[in-house]
Amino acid sequence: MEGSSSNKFSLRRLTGSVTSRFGVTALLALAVLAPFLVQNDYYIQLCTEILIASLLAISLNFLIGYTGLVSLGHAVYLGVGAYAFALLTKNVYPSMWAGLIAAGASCAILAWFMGVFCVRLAGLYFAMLTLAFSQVVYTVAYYWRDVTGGDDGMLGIPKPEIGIPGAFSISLESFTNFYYFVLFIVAALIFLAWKIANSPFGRVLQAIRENPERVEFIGLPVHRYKLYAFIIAGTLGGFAGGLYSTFQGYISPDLLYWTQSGEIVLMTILGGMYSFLGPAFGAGMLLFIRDTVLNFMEYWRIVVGGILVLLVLFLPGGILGFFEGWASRSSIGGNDGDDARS
Amino acid sequence: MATTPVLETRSLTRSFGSLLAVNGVDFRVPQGELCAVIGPNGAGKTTFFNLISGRLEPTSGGVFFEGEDITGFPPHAVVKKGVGRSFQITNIFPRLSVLDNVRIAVLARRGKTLDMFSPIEKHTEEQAEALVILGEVELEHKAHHPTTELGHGERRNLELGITLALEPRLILLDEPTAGMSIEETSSTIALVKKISADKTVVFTEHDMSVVFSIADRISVLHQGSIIAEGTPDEIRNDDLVRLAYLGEEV
Repeated sequence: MEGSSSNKFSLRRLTGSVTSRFGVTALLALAVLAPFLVQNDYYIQLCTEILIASLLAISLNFLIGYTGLVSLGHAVYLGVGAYAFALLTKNVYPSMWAGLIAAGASCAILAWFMGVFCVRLAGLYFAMLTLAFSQVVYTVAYYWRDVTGGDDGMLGIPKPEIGIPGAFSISLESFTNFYYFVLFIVAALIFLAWKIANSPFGRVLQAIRENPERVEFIGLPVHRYKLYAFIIAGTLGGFAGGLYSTFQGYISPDLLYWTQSGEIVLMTILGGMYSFLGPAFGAGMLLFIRDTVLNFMEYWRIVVGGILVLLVLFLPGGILGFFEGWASRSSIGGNDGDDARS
Repeated sequence: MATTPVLETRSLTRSFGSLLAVNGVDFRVPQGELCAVIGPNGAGKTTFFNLISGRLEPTSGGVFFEGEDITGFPPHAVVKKGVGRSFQITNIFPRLSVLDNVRIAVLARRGKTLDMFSPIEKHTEEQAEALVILGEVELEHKAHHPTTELGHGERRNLELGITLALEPRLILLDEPTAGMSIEETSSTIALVKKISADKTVVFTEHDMSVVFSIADRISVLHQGSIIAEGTPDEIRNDDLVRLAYLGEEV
């Protein structure tokens, strides 16, 4: 009995890790080679934006897919991270690292503050409160002209060079250099998120998604775990905001608006919220569709909306979620809860 | 002085509006006993369990575990004290694997659930322990299956496994055999009996043959109050109980 079950376990783990390792390696190779493949500044910039959006969508999925909390205010971290980066690098000290740390830290504090109120709620009430908080921050950014520039936004956000002062420095002004810098940061943070998702803590979040009351009855304070998830998601989102700020060089309160939050939710659902990399896939798809359709007409959201309707009806697990489920079914003949979700 | 009971309630009362669901219940469970709480539907059994386990706050009265006042503690704090419970309606983590359902509980008991950076599979001790518990509830061969592949009786057993993984000193089982087939019922009852060898167990059950065959002591709840307490023989012969509840059944 025991022998057969442990055999099965190792076999399953082996196939699972081989497919996922292969997939991740291929994806990383593709990301590293992308600038050579596209050979075009415009597309290098599109790829950079997709990377940033991937981090943003994966950070949101910590709440939606892992903890089962649908946040409709995730753009608040994109915006606050972006403003924090801009304010620090323009007004205090033009350092890439300091800017990014300011973006992450400000969002960690903001998420902690908002989370204390939000995690007490569930379902629609949670969604509404996150939406309300983000709209409050939007309004502040819109009217606090002296600091944020109001609806004019902020211009001329720098791309400070990186390196060791006196030893060497790398300019990030070229699109390719900047792309690799973003790839490095995003890959590192996504790796960190992946570590957390597969840790005991990450499994508790999934358990909260499945049955919060039972989690309370295995002796864990659910609110506190939800709060930690909220802070992790916000901090990662803040880093994405910081990167976006330096990437665009220009930001406005639109980044904080609730439609922006909706777009991040769309990315997550398009790619698949029960798959770790699904949201990143969704981010790539959404931006690619936007870019392609914009060549022909202004109304790219019609296309995205249409795809979303079809997905929700026919592939509710999202696109990557569907392929992963299909791969794990055909590789082992049974769908393990682990494989489909990690 | 007599030894402290594992569980004691003092004038425990809970009302919902004008309904007194649990009304002034004084209840004591000594160490090691297998104690049944019976009563017709709506007698207040589940409310009583909810008050002890922290799911509901009492309107008045107190709950004491090993002599300590735990009245009004939130559920997770009651669990940390050493009280585990299972539910009448199966309460598991549906889209986690069978193993993870129990592993999470083992990790929670051992205080490892704030570990954010090591893979869950690296916690081999906890995994081994979870597999042992799955063996006890006869689910080891399904450890790596999703819970959706389990039958009803197996899900009930998994729920019991989650509770056992917490190593509680007091276990509250709310109708552990609800909805089970005859064979499943007898194997689960054997399991409950085995558990009670070294733990204190309080359970509710609608199957009277089960109750009278395994319980050390029975308390009869009727309209929120305990109307009789005693050994199975005493309860069987209690006129009040016959009138209120058992009817011609016994």
